[in-house]
Amino acid sequence: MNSLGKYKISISNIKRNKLRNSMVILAFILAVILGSIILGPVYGIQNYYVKTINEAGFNVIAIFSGNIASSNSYTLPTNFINISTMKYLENIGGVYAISPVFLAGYFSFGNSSAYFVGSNSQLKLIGSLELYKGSFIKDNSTNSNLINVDLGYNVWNKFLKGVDINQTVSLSLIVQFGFSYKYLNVKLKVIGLLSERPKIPSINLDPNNVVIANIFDIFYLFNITNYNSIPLDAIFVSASDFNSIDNLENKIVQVLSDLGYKKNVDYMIVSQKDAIYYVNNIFNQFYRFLNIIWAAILAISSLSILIVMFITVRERYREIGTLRAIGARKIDVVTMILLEGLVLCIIGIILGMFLGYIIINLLKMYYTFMQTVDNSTIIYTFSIIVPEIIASAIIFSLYPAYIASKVPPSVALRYE
Amino acid sequence: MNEVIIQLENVYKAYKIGNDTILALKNINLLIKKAEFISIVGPSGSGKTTLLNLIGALDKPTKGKILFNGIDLTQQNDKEISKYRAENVGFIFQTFNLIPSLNVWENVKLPTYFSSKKGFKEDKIMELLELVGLKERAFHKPLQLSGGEQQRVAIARALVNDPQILIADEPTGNLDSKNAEIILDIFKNLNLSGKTIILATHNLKLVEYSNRIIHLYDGVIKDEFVR
Ligand SMILES: Nc1ncnc2c1ncn2[C@@H]1O[C@H](COP(=O)(O)OP(=O)(O)O)[C@@H](O)[C@H]1O
Ligand SMILES: [Mg+2]
Repeated sequence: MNSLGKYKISISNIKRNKLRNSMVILAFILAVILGSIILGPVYGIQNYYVKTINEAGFNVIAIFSGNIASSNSYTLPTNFINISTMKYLENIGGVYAISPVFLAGYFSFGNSSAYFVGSNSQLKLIGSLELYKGSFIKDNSTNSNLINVDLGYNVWNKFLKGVDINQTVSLSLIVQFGFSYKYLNVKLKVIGLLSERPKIPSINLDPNNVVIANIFDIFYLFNITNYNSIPLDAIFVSASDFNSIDNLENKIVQVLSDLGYKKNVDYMIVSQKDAIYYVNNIFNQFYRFLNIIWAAILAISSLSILIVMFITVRERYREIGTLRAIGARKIDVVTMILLEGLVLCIIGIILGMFLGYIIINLLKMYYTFMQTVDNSTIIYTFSIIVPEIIASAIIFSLYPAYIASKVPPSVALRYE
Repeated sequence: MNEVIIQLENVYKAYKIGNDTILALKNINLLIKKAEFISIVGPSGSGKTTLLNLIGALDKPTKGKILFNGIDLTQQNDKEISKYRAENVGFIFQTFNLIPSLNVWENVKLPTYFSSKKGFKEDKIMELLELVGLKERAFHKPLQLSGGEQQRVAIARALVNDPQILIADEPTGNLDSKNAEIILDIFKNLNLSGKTIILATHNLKLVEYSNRIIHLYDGVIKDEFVR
């Protein structure tokens, strides 16, 4: 314990040149603040995207009809996915749930609109839908012109404000036929109201702007008896667990290929895992770019400590010689100077974290994208940048410390 | 009392400055016995500081051996040398060399951090400050003290690990005669209590206190006499 007393010198030295040491502390404060406001929002947005994709459904693999990704060179599918395709997919091992998605048309509410979606009871699980009230649609058709529906959050909360379950509403459905539209009056019985859920980034369809009905009820409404003649817009499949998504996706592609469907022409397949991978991949590229900026910030704080520790060592040559003369080992000199640098760095880091936290919270008031930077993201950001700052401070104090320890005491004592 | 504590054998010290080599010490042979009070005198540049630095192991000779209680200091590593400096010698400099950011008490304590000697008690710091007459200045900073007072703190610091040898390089060079006398009195008493004292000076008045005088001239021992 007694040997720790020597570090009292390091601490007392810090008080000696307040202006110079304040500059170093300031450099570290800025490093933490800049690091956290540059990296924090990016971590925040990435987390938000990954979280939203995760919450968008339960291990979902989405099979879309046609190729919506390459709309520039749109090639019409020759083979449409339909209800019978779904029957083939149902029997693949590892399929936990499966739903058809049929966009029957839309209801217009002033500037906004809601899709009329035909599906089945499993959509609730696949799409991680939560009921605010009432029940979800069933699998069998009621064969009636009064169609049971669940309303998306915006529909019951904004467009049809005040609507409740068990009420009947009459709406005009807009159905597209090629380039023309047809209006159809439909009577809907509200059986459930859905809770609000986040919008999936980069997908235009707002999951809160939907009216969900049983697909066969919609076919009944349209007088369709040959179900297999109707192209589905999508089929959603749930894998039983996240890690088996890729495996199941491969099996689905195989089955579809056996059925004569051409990938990226007749259908497009995307999984939640693909989406997360895609998002992470884009962010990783972005990090590589941001790391250059981060390195420049670190270089500035490192340089400031390097220069100041050099000046400190120079200025205290004689003192270092004295310490060596009264028995300090080289390693004592090194650790004493390192500690001095480290204390400056840590003071800067603590103040920087404090100010960084305040600044991020102020920025949140002016920039919506900053909202994604929650407390745990701030802590995560600090946990990434702080060790790097400390490591660089140690590395850059090490050289002046080493130089100091190399000075022969006899020379240091002669030094004026 | 005739035990040899320090022995120099054929010691040379050369300094290189660019292409020039300065021979600061030439073939020094010296035996120092326990409890001797030695004065090393000689004009400026004669090699006094160089010689003291070698005895205090602040530097290594270019050639020759320096033995402390029979152990060759020139062969020791940094850890062993540091232990020797911390525990066996107390160094006193012309320029005092106190640590300005620490107070008097802390300055005196400093060498104890580098010593592994057992039995140190903090009370000793106050006892030493009392010995040098600065007990009431314990919590002042060095720069609040006069030169003479600072040198007395330096003496207390040199004594804290109870070394066998005290090395003082022109300790009164920056002091007036009254203060110089106080310092010399302290040395005299320390010597009487059994410490070996090696003092470099060009002030011949100080020589009176010592029992052996070595005259250094241009890096060689020109003559010496014992009183
Ligand atoms: N570190 C050094 N580098 C070069 N020359 C030195 C060094 N230390 C001492 N000298 C030279 O060695 C000689 C003896 O110096 P020094 O021991 O300081 O003498 P003194 O203490 O008697 O004045 C002088 O010529 C001095 O210039
Ligand atoms: Mg000298």
